[in-house]
Amino acid sequence: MPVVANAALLVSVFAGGLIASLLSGRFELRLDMGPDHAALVATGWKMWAVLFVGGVLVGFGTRLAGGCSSGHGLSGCSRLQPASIVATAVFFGTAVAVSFLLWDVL
Amino acid sequence: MPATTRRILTGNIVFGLLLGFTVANIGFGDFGELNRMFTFQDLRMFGAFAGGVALAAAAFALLRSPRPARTPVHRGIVPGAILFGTGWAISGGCPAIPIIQAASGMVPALATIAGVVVGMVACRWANSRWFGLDRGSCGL
Repeated sequence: MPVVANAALLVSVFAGGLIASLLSGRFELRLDMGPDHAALVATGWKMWAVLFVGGVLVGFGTRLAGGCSSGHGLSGCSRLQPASIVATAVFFGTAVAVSFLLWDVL
Repeated sequence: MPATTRRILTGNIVFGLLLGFTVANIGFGDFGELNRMFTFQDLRMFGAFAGGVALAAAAFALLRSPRPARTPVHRGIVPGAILFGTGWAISGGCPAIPIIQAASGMVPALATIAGVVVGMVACRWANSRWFGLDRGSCGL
């Protein structure tokens, strides 16, 4: 059952996003992540590599920290869990620092 | 199907649809919006996040949900959050966001999704060998 329930959640997230993008007229099949990602991060094959590496960091980090922006950020912080407050401060702080580095380095 | 199982499945479908729909409309799936939040050019996203935390707190209070045991700040929290924050900033995706990006037609988000799966499997493998810290994913 957990596999079915988790799969249902993922499919529902996809369906919710699809409905939102269709209703708002934002749906567009494209091979890039938008002009900002192209300008600040990478294009072409480098973009695919960066996205894959970014995904690995997100997956590994989420598992290691025991939660992500939803688990720690929304659920944990709303329940004043110390581990979640620390995790949220650190991942937001890191994302801020890396985002400024994208401007300066790339 | 047992009633509890049906309730969990229905809850996942309803909240999954709401999550996908809301996050897509807020703009969390847009790398540019995220970057403008992280570089303090546009604070609307921080406001949306803070609003989400406040709403969740209010919902837990209204439902009189029992407060879970305090989660210890184990030694995986800080390094894990650093890795996650780095990946979030360069890919624009926390674990669920690439699914929403793909749903809006961004094909390269599939690379992020593949990376997330590989990262989770790699962490589970490394954890079983070295860390002994695996607390699942978003499993508070």
